[in-house]
Amino acid sequence: MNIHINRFLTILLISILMVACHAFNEENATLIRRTPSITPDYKEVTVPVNMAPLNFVIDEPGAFFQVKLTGENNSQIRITSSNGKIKIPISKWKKILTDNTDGRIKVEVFTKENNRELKKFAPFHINIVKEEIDSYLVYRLIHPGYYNWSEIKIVQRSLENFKTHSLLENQTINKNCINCHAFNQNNGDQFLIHIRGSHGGTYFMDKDKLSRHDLKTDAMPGSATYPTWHPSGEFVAFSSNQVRQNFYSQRSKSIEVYDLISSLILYDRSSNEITNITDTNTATPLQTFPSWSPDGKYLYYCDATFCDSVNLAVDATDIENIHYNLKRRAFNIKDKSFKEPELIFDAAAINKSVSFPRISPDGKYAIITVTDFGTFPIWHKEADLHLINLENGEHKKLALNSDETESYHSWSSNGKWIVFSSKRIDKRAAVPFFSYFESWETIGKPFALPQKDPALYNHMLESFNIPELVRNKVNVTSRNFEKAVKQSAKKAKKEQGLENIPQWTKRNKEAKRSHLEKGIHE
Amino acid sequence: MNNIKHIKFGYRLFLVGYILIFGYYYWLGDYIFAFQENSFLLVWTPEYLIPFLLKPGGILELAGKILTQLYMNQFIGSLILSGIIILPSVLLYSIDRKLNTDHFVFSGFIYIIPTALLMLLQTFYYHFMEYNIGINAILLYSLFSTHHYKKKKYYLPLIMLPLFMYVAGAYTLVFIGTCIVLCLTQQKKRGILRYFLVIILETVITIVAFQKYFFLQPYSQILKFPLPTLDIQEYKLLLFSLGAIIVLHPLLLKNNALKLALSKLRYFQGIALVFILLLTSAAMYRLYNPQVINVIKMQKLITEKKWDKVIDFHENEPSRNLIGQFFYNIALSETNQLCDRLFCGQQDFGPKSLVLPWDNEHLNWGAHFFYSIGLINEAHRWAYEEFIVYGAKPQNTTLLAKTNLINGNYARAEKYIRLLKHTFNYRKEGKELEALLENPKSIMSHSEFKRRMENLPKNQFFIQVSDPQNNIPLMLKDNIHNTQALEYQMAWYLLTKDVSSIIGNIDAFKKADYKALPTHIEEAILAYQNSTKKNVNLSEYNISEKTQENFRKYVSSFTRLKNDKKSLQSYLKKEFGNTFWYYFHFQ
Repeated sequence: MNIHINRFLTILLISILMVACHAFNEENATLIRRTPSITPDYKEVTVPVNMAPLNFVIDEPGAFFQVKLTGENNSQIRITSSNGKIKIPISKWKKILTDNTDGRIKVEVFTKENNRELKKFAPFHINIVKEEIDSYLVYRLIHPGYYNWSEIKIVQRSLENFKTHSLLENQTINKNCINCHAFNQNNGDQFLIHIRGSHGGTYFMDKDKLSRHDLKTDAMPGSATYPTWHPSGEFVAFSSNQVRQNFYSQRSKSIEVYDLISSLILYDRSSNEITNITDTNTATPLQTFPSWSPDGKYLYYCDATFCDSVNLAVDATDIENIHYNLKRRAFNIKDKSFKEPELIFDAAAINKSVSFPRISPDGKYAIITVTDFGTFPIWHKEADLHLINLENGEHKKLALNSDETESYHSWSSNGKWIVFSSKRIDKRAAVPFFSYFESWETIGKPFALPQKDPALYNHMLESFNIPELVRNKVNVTSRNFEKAVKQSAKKAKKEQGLENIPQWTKRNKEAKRSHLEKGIHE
Repeated sequence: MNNIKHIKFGYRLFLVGYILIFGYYYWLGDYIFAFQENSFLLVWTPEYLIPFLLKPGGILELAGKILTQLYMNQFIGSLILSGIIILPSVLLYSIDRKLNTDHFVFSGFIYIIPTALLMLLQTFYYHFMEYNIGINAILLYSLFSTHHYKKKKYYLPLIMLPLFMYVAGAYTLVFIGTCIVLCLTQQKKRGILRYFLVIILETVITIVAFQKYFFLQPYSQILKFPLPTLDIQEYKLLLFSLGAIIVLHPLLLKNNALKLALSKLRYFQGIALVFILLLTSAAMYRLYNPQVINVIKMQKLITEKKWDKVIDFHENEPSRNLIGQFFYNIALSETNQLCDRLFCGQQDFGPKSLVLPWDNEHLNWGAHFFYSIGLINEAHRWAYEEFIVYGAKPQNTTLLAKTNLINGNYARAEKYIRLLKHTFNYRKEGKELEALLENPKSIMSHSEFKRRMENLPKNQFFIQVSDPQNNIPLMLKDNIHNTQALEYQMAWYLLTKDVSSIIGNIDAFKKADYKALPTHIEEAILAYQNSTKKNVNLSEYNISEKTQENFRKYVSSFTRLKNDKKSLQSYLKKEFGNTFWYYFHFQ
């Protein structure tokens, strides 16, 4: 009986092997001159040696799929699939990357439809460079919505594999809204997060200690909003904004977010004191998106003149006339003083507007987001990333842009990688893309954050918001925040001598609608 | 022998009860199915199902959602809901039999109370299936515990308690209450105290462990989910009563002497049973709100795009509810009858029933207006906000797919279509929309989308959120052929009795290529001419003979009866209740 079973199994196995060999006999394959269509598009991209496997979906008809990855040293991986999803085993991927560092791997795709011939597509390549990317990406996972929100998470994702870890989930803090997170120079041990709602405040994480602060003082037009850490860790500059959003009627645009008032402030962590950076009358100009140079000697920011912001009836045309330039002010750490502003990039002169200046770790370059107007590029389809050479003032549009929005971006700690949000996949949800920054002349083709399920972006509705590269694992969880929200917020003091600054009041015209602009959890 | 007789009688009684309850839900209570099936979209994909497994009580909630999908079919829905509602009585009965193996006495009126209370709770249409399952879960676990308790296997229910808490969530706490009462009613006190302490300790440890190590829910969530949260006084009273019965039932069931005494009073049990049935019927009658039910039925018809049926429904059974009248006006707009038929249906809220204000209360309905006039971005926003706040529902997911198709965002539309395709009840609709996705040119010729694409705003403006009606003139500014917007604008004037604005905009109908003026516009013109004695520029239109004749009759009747105001209104309502003139004078 056993002999019969064994014989049967042997014949079955041989038959399967024969069919398989026949099905994927490369010699018999019909050559297709073009490369296969795959999502995400990983063709001819440049990846760091420590990147997780670039799993992808083959968007070609077929019932059987095979992918052959061949290194320059002839090392090889073969992956077969019946549904076109190619999931590369992580250990084999690591090995082929390591073996081919500063080289490239060839990717050959074979497909076969039922009862049809085997097709072999023209190969594409993946380039591998030795410059590693920071090991983690921290982003906010949120539905790209309007007024309301539901579940929001700050997630830490390992870029070397597919492991994720929630730093904070708002279900543990009564569904409060979680806003911007900011790290000091890619350091996972020092960061801050804003929370809006019943547990509102700015939460500072510093060497395992989480503390809650209330940074709003009378001298500020709004709460502390967009942050940037001074490299010393002693100061954090914020913009303080009264933000509004309007919705467009035509399908070409969706939302316009703008500031009624915005100014810059400096928070001194040791004295718990807020100082104004912007001059006293902050209704004009608008100043926002502060960003320190890595040496801490300059504060870069975006600056626009908004005519008579107190009485203006804001409409679509008014907003189109707001153009932000890139400026900077030298900072003296000893007396916390700023020198006169310097114009770095005159975007208004070319009818453009600048957001999110980010200075490279070596201080030589700035990457900015450029839009036609306004201050909130994530809802601007035309938003693109530009590169400025801070040594000679040259600027250029980066080749990594698409026809859809490219917005928030940050540098890796070694200055060789850029991560940025792009809406190129479904026009609404932002997905993190990475590009290799080789030099002023050369930037690698961008690639989407690889996922274990390569079809994830085809059905995922949420946005990856504010992608930040972080060197080390952030040791905080929702449990820590659950405790921290119970602390009473440490109220910041306003700088002495600022008592005579006019109180910021919301414009009367806006008071009526302000209640409409709150989400249901507020 | 006596026991067997009791048992047979009990089962017959439950069967009769089941049939009666089925009949009620099949013929009268079917609005529950329409509302609840439409309140959640169960998507059969891992990313939608896994979150249910990540919280205590999630499995119970999921079970409720799965059964609710079957509400799509009225017959199956009635079968399921009747079964779930009668089940607590059967379980209570079974527990009683376990507790009183030697001297079981059937007490029909006691067993029927949970079912009666559940039926009353179910009259609230927000009382979802998972709540009914929760009640049954408590009793099922009580039965399981009683069974093992009788066999002296105390440890099994204790061992399984954390698992039960994971499945049933906060309903476990009600079970703990039952357990405590059960312990207290036992005659043999030996070991009971220990059992009592162990179960309390185990519950506390389980809750702490769940919160600290297994799930991300805060304590408040673990202690409440998935218990009902409806904040209505009557509902809470009924719920607490049901909770009290479940917790205290061991006291009632254990007292066999009392039951025996009651059973000897021959007719007492029968009278008590009839009394409970009558009381339940009376309470159900009181809680039955035909206005709300009408709205739910109209909502179903709106979802199914059965515009003519919505119109007939409201004209035959007038809704006094803002949303009901809003639905009627939507159906009129979709069939281009807003200015011809507006007053054929009840209009109690003036222009408020044309455009709902932006707030969370109206989040699930308001998009229809914007979708009808072609302000697709705003329809998308309302649908999206609802999707975010209340989760995926058939209505919002479908609208998101459609608005993305109209706006040309096919990649995003595909994501919503995928959700529809992975459901029990909306797969077909998903596939129909998917077919459009494969051939985007067909969207332009699609019966539903063609008009909306033509009506899309031709100019860019910021949408007026706080005064949504102000978007209508902005829509008309550069698109005079948007007849839906035009009729909404005119309907606004009609309902605000702003006749001079109607007179000032008659040429808008000419520009929009109307062959004749709509009836209510003619009525407004005649009223204006009559009261001001001014000639109106009719832009080459004529007032129809029928309207003129009607107006003569109206004026004549008005003149004849003007001294008898009571008769005047009732007569004019009967004869001219569907005219602008009557609305102008009396509403």
